[in-house]
Amino acid sequence: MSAEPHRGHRLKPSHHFTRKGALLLIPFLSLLAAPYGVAGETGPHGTVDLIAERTSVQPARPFWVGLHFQLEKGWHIYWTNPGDSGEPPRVKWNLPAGFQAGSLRWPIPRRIEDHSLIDYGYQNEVLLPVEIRPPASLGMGADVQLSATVNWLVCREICVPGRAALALTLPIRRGTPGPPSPTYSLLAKARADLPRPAPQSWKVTANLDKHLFVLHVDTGKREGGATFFPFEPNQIENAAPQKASPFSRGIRIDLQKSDQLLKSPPRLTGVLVFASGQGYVIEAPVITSR
Amino acid sequence: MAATAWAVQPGNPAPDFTAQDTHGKTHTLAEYKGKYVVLEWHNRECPFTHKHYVSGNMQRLQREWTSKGVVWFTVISSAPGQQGYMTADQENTYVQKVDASPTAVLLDPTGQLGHLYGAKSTPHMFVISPAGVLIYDGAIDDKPTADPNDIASAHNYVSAALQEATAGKPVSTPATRPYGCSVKYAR
Repeated sequence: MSAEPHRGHRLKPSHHFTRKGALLLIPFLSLLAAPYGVAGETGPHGTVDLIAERTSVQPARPFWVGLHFQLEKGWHIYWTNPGDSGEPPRVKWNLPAGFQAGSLRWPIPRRIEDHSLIDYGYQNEVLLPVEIRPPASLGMGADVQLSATVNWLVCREICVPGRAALALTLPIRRGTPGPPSPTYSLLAKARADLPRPAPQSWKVTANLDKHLFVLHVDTGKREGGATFFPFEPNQIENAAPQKASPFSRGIRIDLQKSDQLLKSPPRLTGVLVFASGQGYVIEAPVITSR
Repeated sequence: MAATAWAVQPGNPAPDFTAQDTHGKTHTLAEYKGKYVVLEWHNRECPFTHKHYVSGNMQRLQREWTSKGVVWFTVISSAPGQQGYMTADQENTYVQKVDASPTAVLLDPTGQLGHLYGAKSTPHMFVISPAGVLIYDGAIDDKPTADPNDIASAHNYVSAALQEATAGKPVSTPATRPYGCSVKYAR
C-alpha cells in the first residue's frame, strides 16, 4: 500500500485512454499478498484493495470481504445499473476448492451528472462487500489465498478502464474467528449502509401513464424527500428530474418514462433513498392507465 | 430540423435532420427515404468505441451493411474542446487509418443532431427503415463492456434488426439500453 493510502500513486494527468491499447493497468500481481487486505493496487485515477473483516478463516463459517476503491477527486465508478453511460465493476474470483463467493453488494449510489446525462455511481470512496463461504472441512495449519481479478471503468469527462489482480492470504484457524481485522469497521459500516429490504408493511405501487411512472410509497408516515435508483435500464429517463411530493402516509415520486421502454414492465424495481440517506430495495407492481 | 410531435422511439417516424459530413457535403434523412439508415454515435477516444474499432468489428459491420445498400452515418457530437471532437481533416485521416467504411461521417459539434435523437453514449446505434420509421434504438450488442474479447460471443442488435427487417420480419429487440461513454456534448 502506498504511503498515502487515500490517494494511491497519482498518475500523470496526461494519462488517459489512447488508441494504442486499452491501457489496462495490469499492476504487478500481489504475490506477497498481505493479511486482512493491505494488498492495494494502483489503478487509473485511484486505488483498489481487497480487504477482509477477519484475520483467519474457519470451516463453514461465512465471512465478508470487500473491494475498496479510493478514487481521485472528481472521478467516479459505477453502480450495478450505471445509468446513461459507463459500466459497473466486475470481479472474477479464483478461490481454493470448496470456497464460494457471493455476488457484489452495491452500496447506495449517487446521481452523477455527466454531460447532461445522469450516471449512477460512486465518487471518492466506495466499498463493495462480498460474502465468502468456506467449505465444511479445511485442513488446519494451511493458509487460504483468495484471489480476484477486478475490471472497472473510472470516469471524469473521459473514461479509463482499470484492471487489477488482488489477493488476500488468511490462515485457517480452529474454533472462533478471533479478533476482527483492522479493516473490520470499514466493512461493518459498508454492510450497515447497504440498502435494506423494504418493510412488509409498506404499500408500494407504480402507476404508468403515457409519459410518467407515478411511484407511491406508503410507509405510514410523511416522508421528507426521496430519490429512486432503478435496477433495470430503460425504465425511466435517468436524466429527468424526479419530482418528490410528500403526503401524510409517505411519498409520491414522478419518474419520466424512458423513450426506450416500449412495453409496460410488470414491476419497477430499485433502491429508494430517503433524505436521511437510508436506502430500501423496493418492488412496485406497475398499474398501466392510458 | 423538422419539428416533430413524436417521441424518438422505435415504431415512430425518425425525425428528419440536416447535417454536414467531413467532405463538406450536406445530408438530410429525407433524401434517403427508400433505404435503411444506420446512425452510429462515435468518439474514438472512448474505450467502448475503441473496443469496436480496435477489433475491426465496427468496420466489418459498416462494410457488410453498406455493401447491401444500407446508408451508414457515423456521427460525432463531441463539442469543441471535448473528448472526441474532430475537425473534418482529422476525422478523414482517422477513417482512412482504421479502414472504416461508413457512408459518411456527420459532424455535429453543436450537438443538435445528438439531442434530436437523444443520443446518450458512444456507441449509441439507431436503425431507420426505408419508410423513415425508427426500428432500432440502443446498444450495439448485448455485452456492455469495454473489452474487445467480448465481441465474439456478443449478440449484435444492429445486425439482428437489419437482418429481420430486410427479411420482412418485425425487429424482435427494437430498444435496448445503449452502453458506453457519455456523448461529450457542449456544456
